[in-house]
Formats: sequence, C-alpha cells, structure tokens
Amino acid sequence: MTTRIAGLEPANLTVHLGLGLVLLLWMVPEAYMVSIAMRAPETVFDPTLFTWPLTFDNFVTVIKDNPLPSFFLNSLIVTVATVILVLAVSSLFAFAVAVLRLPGTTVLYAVLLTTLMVPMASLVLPLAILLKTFGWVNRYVGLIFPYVALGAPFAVVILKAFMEDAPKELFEAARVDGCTPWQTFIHVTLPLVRPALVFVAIWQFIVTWNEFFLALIVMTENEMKTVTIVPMQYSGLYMANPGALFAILTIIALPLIGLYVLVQRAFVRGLLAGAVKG
Amino acid sequence: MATLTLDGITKSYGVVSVISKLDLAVEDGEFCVLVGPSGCGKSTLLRIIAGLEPITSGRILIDDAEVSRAEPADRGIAMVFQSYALYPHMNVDRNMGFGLEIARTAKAEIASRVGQAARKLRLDSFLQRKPRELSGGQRQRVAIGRAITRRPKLFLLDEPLSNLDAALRVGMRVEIARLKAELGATMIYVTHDQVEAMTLADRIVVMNGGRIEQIGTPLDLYESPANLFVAGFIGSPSMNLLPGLLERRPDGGAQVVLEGGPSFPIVVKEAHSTPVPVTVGIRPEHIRLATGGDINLRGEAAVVEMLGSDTFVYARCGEQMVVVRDKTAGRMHRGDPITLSWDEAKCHLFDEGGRRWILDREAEAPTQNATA
Ligand SMILES: Nc1ncnc2c1ncn2[C@@H]1O[C@H](COP(=O)(O)OP(=O)(O)OP(=O)(O)O)[C@@H](O)[C@H]1O
Ligand SMILES: [Mg+2]
Repeated sequence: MTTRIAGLEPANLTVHLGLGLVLLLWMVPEAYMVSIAMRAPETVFDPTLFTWPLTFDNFVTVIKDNPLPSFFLNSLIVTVATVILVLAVSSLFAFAVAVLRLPGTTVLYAVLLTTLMVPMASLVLPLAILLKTFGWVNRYVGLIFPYVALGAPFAVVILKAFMEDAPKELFEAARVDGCTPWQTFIHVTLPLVRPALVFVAIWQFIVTWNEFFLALIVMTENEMKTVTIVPMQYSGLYMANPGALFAILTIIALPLIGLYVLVQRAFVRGLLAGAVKG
Repeated sequence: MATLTLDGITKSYGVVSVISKLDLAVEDGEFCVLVGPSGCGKSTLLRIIAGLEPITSGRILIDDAEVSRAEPADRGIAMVFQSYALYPHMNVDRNMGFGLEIARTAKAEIASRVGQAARKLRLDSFLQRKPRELSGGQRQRVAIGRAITRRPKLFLLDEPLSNLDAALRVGMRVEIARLKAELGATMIYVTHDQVEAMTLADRIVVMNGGRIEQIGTPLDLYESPANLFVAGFIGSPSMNLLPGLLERRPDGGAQVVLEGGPSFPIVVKEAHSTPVPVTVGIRPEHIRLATGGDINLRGEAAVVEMLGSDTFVYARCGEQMVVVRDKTAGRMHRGDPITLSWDEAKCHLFDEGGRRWILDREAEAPTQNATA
C-alpha cells in the first residue's frame, strides 16, 4: 500500500488527496457520534469535535440499564431470518422470470416493482392492524414477514438482472446435461450469481438491522425489543442523555461496521458486476 | 451410434417461419455437416434436434423412436455450443462429469470416463483448473470432452471452431477428424467454414432460408450443384456465373451465346426454337490463362491476389467479372491484357429458375466428363 502511494503520479496524488478530504468530511458524523459517546455530562454540549478527558461511563450506563444481550439476540434472529428468506424467495422468483420464463411471471414482476414505490410510512398503519389481527404483535414473525415482503422486490430486481446477464447457453447446457429446473437452479444458477447473492445478503442485513419504525410498533414488550428501539429512551422531550444515546448508537453500529469490513470486497464486486459485463 | 430422421419439421416464431417442411435422414455413424448463409436456420435446426427448441410441426426420430417432445437429456444427444458454455464455477473435471453426476452415475465410473476423455483430448494436466484458466483451444477440448463422457448416440456441434484463431482451427479440425474416426458416432456439425465442411463431412447439407437446397457428398456438391445457390455457395472463390442465351443452331444442335461474348456449342436434349436465358457456371480453377479451350475470352486483369500457392486473377471481360485461379500467374499485374479459356465439358448450365440443366454428357455418359 505504501509503495503504491509513493509511486503515485502527481495527478493521481491530487485525486487521492481530494478523495481523502471527502472521506474525512463524510466521516465527521461518525467521529462525532463516538466522540460524544465518550464525553462526561459537563462537556457533552461543547461545540468541538473532540474533548478531553475521555470516559467510558456512558457505555457502562447503557449496558447496565438494558438487557443488551437479549436485544441483540432479537435483532440477530429477526435479521438473519429475514436475510435467508429474502434470498430464498427472491432468487427463486428471479429464476422463474429470467431463466425459466414461466408464463405470467413478467406480469407478476411488474406488479412486484410497483411495491418499490410505496413509502414505508404509508404501510405502517395497515400493517399494524394486519399484524394485530394475525396475533403477530410481539412475535418475531411479525417483523420478519413484513421485512421479507418489503425487501424481496429490490432483491428480485438485482438477481433478475444478474441472471439475465449470464449466458443462456449455460442453462441450455444444464438441460442437455439432464438437470431438472431445480438442479439447474442449485448447481448452475446460484453459483453464477453468487456476487449478487452476497450483495443482496449484506444489503438486506444492513437495512433490516437498522430498521426502527416498524420494530417500534410491533415489539412493545421488553423481551421482544430489537436494539434499534433502545436509543429512544435516551432522547425525551424534557430529559435527554446525549452521552448515553450516542454510546448505544455506537454499540449498534459496531456489528455492521465489522460485517462490512469482513465482506467489503464481495460487496463492491456485487455492485460493479452488474454494470460491467465480463 | 444412431440414425436421425427429420420428418416435415416446421418452426416458426409467431408469424415468422424460420424452417419450413424440412426432411432429412442421417445414417448411423455419418458425419453430416450443415452449411448455409448466416440466418438460414442452421443453429435453429440443431437446437430443434437437441430438444432446446420446440417444433411447430413435424416429427423427430432418433433410432426410429419418436423424440419430438422429449427433453434434451432423454434424447441421448450431446451438444457442443459455439460459446463452449462451460460452467465457470466448476473445474474441468466436474465440467466433464457433470452430466453423469446428474444422472447419478457411480463416482468410480465418472472418474474413469472423465479420465478416458481427458486422455483422448490431452486434458489430463488441466483437470483441476477452472475454465477461465484455460486457453481457447483447451476450453474447446473441454467442451468436446463433456460431450464425449456422456456417450451420446448423437453429437451436435454448432460452429465449434469459430471462436478459435486460424492456426488453432486447423489443429482442432484435424483433432475432430481423428475423433470422428475413433468414436464412429453420428455427428451433426454446423459450420461457416468451407474447408471444415469439405474435409470433415461424409455428407453436406446446404441450407438456405430455412430449406434444404441440396444434400450430397462434398464432391457431389462440388461437381454437380443442383442449383445456382449451391453452385455459388460451395467452392472458394465461388463459381463464375455468366448470363447467356441457349438457342438452336441451324444444323439442329444447340449453342450457348454468352452475353457480350463468344458462343459455343453444347449438347442438350431439348433445344427450344426460341432462345432461352440461361446461366453458365465455370469454376475459377477450370479456367486457363491461355488460349486453346472451347471457350475463349479476352479481358484485362482488374485485381491480382497472390497467395503464394495460387494466384486469383479477377479479369474484366466486357461487362463481366471473371475470377481465375491459376498457379502460373505469379507475375501478372493490374491492367495486363489477358486471355482466358476453358472447356465446354467443365461448364455447368442453369435454367432461368436457377435449377441445374442436365446436359446430355452427364445424363448419358457421365464418365466422359474428364475426357470431353
Ligand atoms: N427467438 C427467436 N425469435 C424470432 N426469430 C428468431 C429467434 N431465434 C432465431 N430467429 C431467427 O431465425 C433465423 C435462423 O436463425 P439461426 O440462429 O438458426 O441462424 P444460423 O443459420 O445459425 O445463422 P448463423 O450462421 O449466423 O449462426 C434467423 O433469421 C433469426 O433471426
Ligand atoms: Mg448459428
């Protein structure tokens, strides 16, 4: 890495400096979040990016106040189940549309696309009533199924594009080799669109993990709450504890940042693969 | 090992008819080559035989069993795609054995068959590689290997060599000729390449616009093309086609008068009293750059192409452009005056509809071809 930078042309160096500057600006909110999380109550409202001394008291407070492990577990269960279901449902549907070209699937696909245009806010009330009727309030399925329904259309768009990009002779070769549609799906199609699957998985993970609105409404019992609901209690109208608020926000963000660092390469590859064929 | 019979095959996409009423019988162990201009339906026909494309009407029989509606895997065929269509995420070993794996063949049997095919195609040392780590020629061999391991009754190959460079193509052509001899299987092979068609085929099927123009051995097609289309299509450079009139001579015989050129006697059964337009075909390699033939023309060299072994002279004779293939024309230049001549016996005659006119010398004494 250092040798690369040392060998950079001046023009390249300028570009990198520019990008670095943008990155720094971009990072300010994150840095501010961590910084406030580590302030004592006296310095919390200081209008500077960094203060001294640092304290971990806020973290201790939020960890003591809340059964965080149980919240995390709830978030993890809901998120992982959502990701798996979205992957399963959307890859199968994309396969039916793009590869098998089953009659009627293109119409279904068009209908599915229209759901992308509906804002979440307008869905909350009908969803709440629906979930109540089903008795799914304070149950995992009450979050998982809506999340899957909301996440699947986008995943289908991505996966369908990838499957249509794949050479169709490969699917024909699979037919000649004797594959049933199921076998073509498992042995040929899924491996071919793996970058897209990784992308969809990460994307869905982030969206689901961060979702707050629906979780707030569906999970009212303390044992069922997901982590994103926790920060609420530290920002009231008359009483606020910014230090603790930002401490819990930092804690929530950590797993995502960890995940992203782990799979960053695959994520970027997934983003690019659809754009540039080859 | 199988016979293939196509019985009145028709294929249309909506109102567009791509193949109409096509009949074809391929014998056991035959190497049958489909040629024709781009878009004439060769690939479509091959895909129909493979079962990848449903037919509009007609019947397909493999070994006398009807398979018109059968799935590709149930037809006992193997297909080599133009783009190879190797599974990019599987190594060579699994690519070649995948069909057997799906058919739940025993592991040991798969390994032995893949090993056998790999040895035959000299792929032994690449078995663990992914397709992207192979050269074009190696990928091509894997694609053929994948077909071989399935031990199909019928091999279908769609322009298998068209993605290779010229040198590799020659190498692979020899390889395919060797495989053909070794496997003795029935093969249907689509190509654009004349040389491939002429050297590999037992029989060539010339297609045009979704119909078969002629079926025959390479020499049949070369020596007696059934119509103008085949005459122009087979052979490179293609046959010279010169317009003329067929008329009766005062002595009762017949003669052809070339447009703006000489006339020469020709023996035909029925010479009409009124002249009829005909086309005279003569192959570039049957024209000499000298006088003394039955037909003599004068002209000038418009283009001279020297290939080393041969020289192609494009001669302008009045209105006509005549191509000559000659070995001795090495030092000819553009604009040089030249004389051309050829013998009546080498001429092909086509009627106004483009059909071959059966000449008396062919109908009655075909062996005289060489001596006349
Ligand atoms: N799915 C389709 N819908 C409509 N027309 C099609 C379809 N597939 C092929 N055709 C038409 O069928 C005709 C035959 O196509 P085909 O691919 O068989 O030609 P080909 O002889 O293999 O040509 P080439 O030598 O260029 O490969 C073409 O005119 C093509 O436009
Ligand atoms: Mg084709």
